[in-house]
Amino acid sequence: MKTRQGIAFVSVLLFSGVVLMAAILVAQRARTGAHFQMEDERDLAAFYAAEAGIELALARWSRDASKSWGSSPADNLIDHPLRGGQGTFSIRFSPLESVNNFHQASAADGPSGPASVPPHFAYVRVEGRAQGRVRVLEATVARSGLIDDPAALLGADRILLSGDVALSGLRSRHDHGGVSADLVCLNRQDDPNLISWTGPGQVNIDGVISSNSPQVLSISPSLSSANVTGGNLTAQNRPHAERLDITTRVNEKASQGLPAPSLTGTRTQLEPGDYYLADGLAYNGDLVLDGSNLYVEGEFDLNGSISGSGAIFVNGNCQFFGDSSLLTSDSAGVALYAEGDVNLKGFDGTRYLRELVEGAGQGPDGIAYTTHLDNFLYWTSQLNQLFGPVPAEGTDTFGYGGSLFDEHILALTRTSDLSYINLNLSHVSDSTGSPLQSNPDLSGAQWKLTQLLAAQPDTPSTRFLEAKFRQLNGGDHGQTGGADIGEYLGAFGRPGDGPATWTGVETLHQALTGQTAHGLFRALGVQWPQLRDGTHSDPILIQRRDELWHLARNQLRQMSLDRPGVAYFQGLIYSLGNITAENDLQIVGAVMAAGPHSQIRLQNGVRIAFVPELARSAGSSLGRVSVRTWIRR
Amino acid sequence: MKKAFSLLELLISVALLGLLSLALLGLFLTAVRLGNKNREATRCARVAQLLLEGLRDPNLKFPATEQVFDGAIAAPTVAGFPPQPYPRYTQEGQDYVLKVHVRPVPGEADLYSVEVGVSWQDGSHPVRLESYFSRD
Repeated sequence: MKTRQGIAFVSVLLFSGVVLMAAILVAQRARTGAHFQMEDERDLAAFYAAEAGIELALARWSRDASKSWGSSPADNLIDHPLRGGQGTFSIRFSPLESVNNFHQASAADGPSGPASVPPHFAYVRVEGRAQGRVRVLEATVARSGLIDDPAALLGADRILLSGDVALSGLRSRHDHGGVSADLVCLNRQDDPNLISWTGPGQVNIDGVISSNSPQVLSISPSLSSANVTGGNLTAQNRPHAERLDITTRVNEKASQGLPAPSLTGTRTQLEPGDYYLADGLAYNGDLVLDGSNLYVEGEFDLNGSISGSGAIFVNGNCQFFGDSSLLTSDSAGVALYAEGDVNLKGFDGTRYLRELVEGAGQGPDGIAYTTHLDNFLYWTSQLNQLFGPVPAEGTDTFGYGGSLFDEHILALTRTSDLSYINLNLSHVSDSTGSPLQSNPDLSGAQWKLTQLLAAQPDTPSTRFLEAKFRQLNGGDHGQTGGADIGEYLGAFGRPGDGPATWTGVETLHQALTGQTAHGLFRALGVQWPQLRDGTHSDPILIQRRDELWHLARNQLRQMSLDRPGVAYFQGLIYSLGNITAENDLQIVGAVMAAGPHSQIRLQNGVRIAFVPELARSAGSSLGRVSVRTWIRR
Repeated sequence: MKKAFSLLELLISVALLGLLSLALLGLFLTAVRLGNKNREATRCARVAQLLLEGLRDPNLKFPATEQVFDGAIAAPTVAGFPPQPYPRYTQEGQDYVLKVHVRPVPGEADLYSVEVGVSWQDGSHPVRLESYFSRD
């Protein structure tokens, strides 16, 4: 017979054993959890210690214009303690760890392999330690501007386009892979035409047009999918643009005893450093920034080019009449930050020349350069009036009674018109009104001014004006002086060769080959009816009649020194006021009107080539060094 | 004839079960407390991390001199510093108190050390993290 004695005890023991095992498991799990929690906490502390090392490196490079820290192993930081004692970090400079390549124009060897650290970059590797745990962070760092997130064209309020306008995007100036050149309007009002375009001409947007407005017609119907590759989007929710406190930045500089730049002559280069101008700036010359930052209290008015690398802060309005040279370096670019309105216009050659001749005294002929300029301007203005739009009442010097532009110009072949105009044209090239002189020292205002320009330092502005005068001298066949605008309107034949030797047909062919435009208008005028009707005996001239027409028109347009041709601005234009750009401008970089009511107007031939990196790095002598890419985090 | 449990056996078994239960209960409670502590410490670390990440805002101005912002006494912020979630953070009914110690790093212009301490209101479950931040 079986006995059941002891079964209760055994059952209790078994039950207790099971419960004990469960308890041990729970306790073990809790202990493991505690272990991992501690490890996690130490890991986090080590991570932030490594981050501290990155921040220290960024701070050292940001405040050091020479960016020399880390050029040798002597700069190593080994187990550098955090201020509060919550960890340490180490940074070692060697090709296998951290590399300072800020000063090199070529890539350097780094931990990722040969030539893996881009030019003007640094590679930072930081080991953070906390209570036995180690975390490693690696990043490439480089200088940047003040705007992290530029758009090709960004306006807080309306964006009004007219005439020829083109937006395109490039990855970089050397990598023409496309990026979207977006046009962004942040206005949220339920209004139509917040973004609009009016002709004449063409508009091409190689990107997306986006509006924060819920109104579908906030984007003008003239901006259709036919000319906007990325399409139109309304009711977007893009946040406001980064707003820089420009006034405070300028005011802070007022008390720092910064030098005022000496802006004299026709060209000023600012050496690296900060400069402050208390009473605004109006300068007729070319400004070159060489890693320099200019702070301007008041208005900034520049008639000349601006180039180089640096930043300009203006707490008032800003006007650029000149152009900015396109540079070859991706890292170069000018950042213009304005509290007020920004106007970018074509080059005001007249104003530039006035400044120049007033300080130039007399020419070799004993006549003041101011007289030469006055004569030149007077007669070119008369010609512009004649060939331009209908002259204002009472200003029709030639008494022609209306515009000769477009097809009417061909009526110039009338003998009475030609002789009258040619008589007056002689004044353009000769201050005295006498016939043309073959001796350069005795010849006209146009040549004298060319000589004066040639004696100035070589700048974009002098090059531009000299080119203008050369174009006006198109008929001189290499002679050094004496050619004049009248030759375009004169009789057939080459000057200096005696009697005319070319026929009208030969003259037109010469003009097409670019040899000379001498006699172009008369030859074209005589033969235009046949060219227009297609009855001319020369099929090539019939085929190229439009070309001839444009050639004649362009010759006339060249008479204005104030037309910019194509002016450039490379970098970032940033304003808290309105931005207006007009007259054949090309901007490589970005345009941002970030104030709450900032409008943008682009008119009469404005092209923007959006290069995001260029816009970000514009004014990088001022911006901080920041992380560009995390390699390990 | 079957023999029933003896009284003695029953008494010993009950006593043993009682003793074991007490011991195991203690073990369980300790494990649960440890688990809770782990969870809270993790939460504290995450709250500290949240504040440290908030300090990355480039528009945030740091005090020029050494200062301690004690969330326990709700020390007022200066020009928005320290940012949220200072002074307190509440999750699942639990209040976490933040303490922020900011000071310039000697010899390093525009570089600040920030230590963030997070704990329960009674000071338990403390976690401290420190990092540097560069500012203009």
